[in-house]
Amino acid sequence: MILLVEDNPDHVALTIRALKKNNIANEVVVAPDGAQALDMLLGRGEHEGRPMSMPQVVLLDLKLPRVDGLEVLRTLRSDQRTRLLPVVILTSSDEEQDVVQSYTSGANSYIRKPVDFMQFLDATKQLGLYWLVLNEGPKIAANG
Amino acid sequence: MLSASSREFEIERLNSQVATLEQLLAVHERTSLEQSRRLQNIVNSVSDGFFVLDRNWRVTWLNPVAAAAFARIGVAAGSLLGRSLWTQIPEEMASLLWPHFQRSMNERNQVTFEIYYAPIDTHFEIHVWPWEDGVSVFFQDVSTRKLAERKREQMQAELERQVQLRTADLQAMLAELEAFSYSVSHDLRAPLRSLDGFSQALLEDYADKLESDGKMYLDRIRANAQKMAQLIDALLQLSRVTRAELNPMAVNLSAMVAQIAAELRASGNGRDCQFRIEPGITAEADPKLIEVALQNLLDNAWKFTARRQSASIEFGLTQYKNDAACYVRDNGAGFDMKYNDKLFTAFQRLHDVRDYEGTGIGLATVSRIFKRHGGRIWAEGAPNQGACFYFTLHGLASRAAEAKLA
Repeated sequence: MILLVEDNPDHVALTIRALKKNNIANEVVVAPDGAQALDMLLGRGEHEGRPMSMPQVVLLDLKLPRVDGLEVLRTLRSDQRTRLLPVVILTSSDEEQDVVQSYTSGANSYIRKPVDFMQFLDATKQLGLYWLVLNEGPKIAANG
Repeated sequence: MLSASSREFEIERLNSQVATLEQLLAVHERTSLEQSRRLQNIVNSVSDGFFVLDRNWRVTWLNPVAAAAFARIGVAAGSLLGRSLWTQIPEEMASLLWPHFQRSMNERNQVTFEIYYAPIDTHFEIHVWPWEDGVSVFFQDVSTRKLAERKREQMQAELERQVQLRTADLQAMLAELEAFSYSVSHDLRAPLRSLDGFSQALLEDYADKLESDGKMYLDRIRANAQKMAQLIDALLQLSRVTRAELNPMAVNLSAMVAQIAAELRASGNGRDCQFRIEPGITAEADPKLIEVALQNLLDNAWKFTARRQSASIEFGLTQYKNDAACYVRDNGAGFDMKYNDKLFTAFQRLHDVRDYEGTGIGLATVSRIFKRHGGRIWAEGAPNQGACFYFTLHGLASRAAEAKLA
């Protein structure tokens, strides 16, 4: 399963399309902002007591309403349950400060979303291949 | 016993000696009188006030400037001579002078100090010199100087205040620029992704319903979305090289150029282009920024030689007038020197977009990078004769040149 944290519905549609085009059949769960992503992963708020099962990878945008991407990342890294969860930053920014802050906050990877959909398709393919197939993730105990 | 005649002779001799002595004395008196007059003249004519006090603080002498100054604080010169200074001058003035005068008299040291006497709104600079029988005092009205000093201090304070204001303004502007660039990089690109992505989706999912014109229109939409993304990226880079902190260090420019050339060649699908790179050229520069500049210059050379058979791009060090200058020379499309000044201006393009694509921001970025390094960039060229870009940097040197010298 993939958790996509993205507030722009266009980009959600395009990302799902790109995954599908690359035959990545993993279920995609969407969190439209940082707060909801944290609630889902850590079993808080609306998801009190019933956190989602751990995704294989989180695709996290940086600029998000309510709780931004870096804040989400830091919170995940400070929680025992999500400390090792693979998080890939997927954003339109290539500002150096964003890249550096993402890695210092514990990101596993940083990808700038290209404008050209064909390039994005290629990026998604490699991303899926690497994080969902090649990469040996940490054994994270199931929630609950 | 002396004879009468010899006694007379003796008296005569003594008399003449007395006369000589009297003459000498007269001369001496005249000279010392002249000397003391000359001294008095000097003391009277100096612009400093001057007066002399004996051990009992009695005024024994004062010059006209001093007399005038005493008159200004309400003390007549006539009432001063022969009397103690402290009984004649106003209490307020006495309290200002007393500690310094007393110190000079007791410690037999020269004392210099400044006072401000409010009743006549005047600053005095005073020197007290001990002499064997009291002290002598020189003083000057320094109010004009003090006023100038105060004005200068006020101006300096005002200047500092303005600098602080201006700095705060600049910092605010810089912060605004940061915020602007940041949202440009995020927010302006997002709609372009949608334009491009959904155009592509149409092309793929509805290919059978689209005629060739329809497909072409969608391709045009995509091309424009991507073009705009390039423009945004170029603008961001321009603003970044302006904002970036400079960290100069020794940089091997030749190695950097070789790396960029290798990348260009790899992207070139076997294009026929020869790179000639003079090895060992170094400079004192910020490696990140200088790489952006070299990348832009080589991208340009690469782009404008695309239609040349046996294209060549050279990088080397030369002497341009009195300066060491690096150059990037190509045998590509070149440019008309008439438009030289437009070359480094943002959004100015000298070539048709249909012939050579580009944002028109690259050379503006390059120029800003060299300016920020205290160097400069200029170009020479002619249409279809190629172009040569020269630049200067601090500490430009070539290991090859050093080897030749040694």
